[in-house]
Amino acid sequence: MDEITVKAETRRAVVSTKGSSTPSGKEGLERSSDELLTELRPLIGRAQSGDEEASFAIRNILEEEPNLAHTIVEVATRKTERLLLDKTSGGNVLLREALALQHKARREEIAGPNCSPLELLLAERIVACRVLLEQAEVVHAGRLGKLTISQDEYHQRRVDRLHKRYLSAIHELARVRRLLRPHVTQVNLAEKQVNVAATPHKGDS
Amino acid sequence: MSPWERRERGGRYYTRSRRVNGRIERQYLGRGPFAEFIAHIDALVRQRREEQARAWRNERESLEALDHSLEVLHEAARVLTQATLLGEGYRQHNREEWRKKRGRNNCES
Repeated sequence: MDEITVKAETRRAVVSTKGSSTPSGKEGLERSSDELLTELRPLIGRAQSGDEEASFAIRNILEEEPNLAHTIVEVATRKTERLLLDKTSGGNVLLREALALQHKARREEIAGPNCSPLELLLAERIVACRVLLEQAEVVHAGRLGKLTISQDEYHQRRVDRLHKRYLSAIHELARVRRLLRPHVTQVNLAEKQVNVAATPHKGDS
Repeated sequence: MSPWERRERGGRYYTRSRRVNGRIERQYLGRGPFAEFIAHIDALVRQRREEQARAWRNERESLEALDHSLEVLHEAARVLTQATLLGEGYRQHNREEWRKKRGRNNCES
């Protein structure tokens, strides 16, 4: 219990410096979200093995930092997006802007209205995976016939890996929606439609 | 090892070395203007190969930087998703299925 208390104190100290200790503010955000994630990792392992204190500590962190997912979206995903757009546009400013708009539209389409910050983060990951997968396929296809066997294998492995990531990202969002969103059951009573919010499924595969 | 071999009785011979079954075999191509010409061609081929290797290395580094940024995002999303599900009272069984822990609501109340 003491260890958890000490860690929580450390985290509070880090969070309290958010946006004030660094001149840019953005670097401060990046550091604190990284530190929160670093703090969550061992707690997850312990909570998985049935440690109730670890579960409690996780809940505390998430309750005290409801915008953690949003912060990660702002920092990590914007960095990924910038790199992706720079790489795929090849320095063409017009193409870059068009791709940025397409990226945003895809993200909003997948996240949907009234999504939680976690869903937004997962939607962002799906879009990033898809853009990167498309880029990998285009790069590979454009160089077919010019590559050595080992270079061809490298590209093929990269496409396979990104495809796997893309599917797992879709699966994760679907799982989060299934488990964390209230289920609505439609019941017809005396010819009137009644929507009832039900508890999520007991299990998910 | 220089491809030019100097003989005791004078003159330089142009050679090509290659590895065959773990041993280095040396092929003697001669001397004079013909050998100079072959040496020039070989130097160009070598230079082109080095440029291609450098270009491939740069391309790989750039692709890996791109993939790494996705890995960071992927890892952050994974940790946050697991933390959220655990915080909501779910447990993962056999690293696959997430199930709500029994009696969880009673504990919370």
